[in-house]
Amino acid sequence: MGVSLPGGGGKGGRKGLNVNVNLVPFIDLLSALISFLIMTAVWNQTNLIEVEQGVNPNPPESDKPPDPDDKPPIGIEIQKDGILIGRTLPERVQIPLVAKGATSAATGNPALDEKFCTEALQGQCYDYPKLEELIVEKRKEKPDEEMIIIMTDDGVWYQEMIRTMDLTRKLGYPKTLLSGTPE
Amino acid sequence: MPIEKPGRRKALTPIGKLRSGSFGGGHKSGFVDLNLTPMVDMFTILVVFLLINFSSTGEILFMAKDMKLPEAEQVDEMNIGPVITITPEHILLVGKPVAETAPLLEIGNQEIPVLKEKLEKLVEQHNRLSRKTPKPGEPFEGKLIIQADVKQDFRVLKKVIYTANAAGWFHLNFAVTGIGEAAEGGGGEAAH
Repeated sequence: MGVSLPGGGGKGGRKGLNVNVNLVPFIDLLSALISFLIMTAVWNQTNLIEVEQGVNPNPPESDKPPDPDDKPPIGIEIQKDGILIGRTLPERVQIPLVAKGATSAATGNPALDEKFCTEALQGQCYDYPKLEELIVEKRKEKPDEEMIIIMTDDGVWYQEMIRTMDLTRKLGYPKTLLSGTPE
Repeated sequence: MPIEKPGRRKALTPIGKLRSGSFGGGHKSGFVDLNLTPMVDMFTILVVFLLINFSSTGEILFMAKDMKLPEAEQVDEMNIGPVITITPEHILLVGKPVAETAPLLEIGNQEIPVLKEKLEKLVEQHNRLSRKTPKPGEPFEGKLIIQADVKQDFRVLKKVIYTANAAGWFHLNFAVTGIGEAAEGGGGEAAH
């Protein structure tokens, strides 16, 4: 490896201004690097969503009595005909399905993404923008809240659970408790 | 460099040289100068592209044929753990079938007995390898990866999750196709 200087080395005379950089070792290195990277390349972007399921059987002992004003976590139930959201049963609000091509019921009526409409819903779509709006609204009651409960009904596609979980994580709920409806 | 008085100059390339060059007649040289610059440019771009896509975790999840994973933005990095694959035909644990999927779509028992038995064995194996004697009530730290198609009925997943919990696996990881910035950065940037 090196740089050859034509006309260099001798005494006297003019030295050429053109310098030939020896590219062979550089190309060798790049070829080896490309071969290694192609061999170890992972083309599918598979990632994970972590869920800590269940309750710790030995919760830390605390002398503090439970706060009666402490609100229970938000519960989201994904049903075949819509989504229910609320902290308690009487408080629950239903977000009905929206026809394909229609706009969301959320404030500002954002256009509904077609990916929210699946074959299982037969031309209808889950109103995720409205769900997002309601979660944001409910979070104001308890800004430090980390846990959310997602309940999925039988017959609902798995992707709806993941989509809801993705949305709640985006809105600041890193802990999710998964649940299903009893048969 | 000495300062010279401006005046007539010789032609830059003498005619004789042009004739003996690659475009002219005369003897052709046996050496050919290959222009390596575009090739080096291409190699550099390729290396940069491959380095961007390089996965530092080294974990690969083998996917069943025709399986489409759900997409998510808030994702975590891949990690090691036994994989439960739910296909329309079978439930597989580490690539080996443990139950059929169709009967699980019917109303019935929540637990999948063979899966539970195998998962319990894995817990024992894990504790033996880590030379750890679990204390009573102490939650098991192992992580389980669940891989299912987007269209999978949640009824089946519910039974798999229930069985995993019953066997002592509480840390569940759902395999997804990462989209967005967090996924491109190798995960780990999920909302915390």
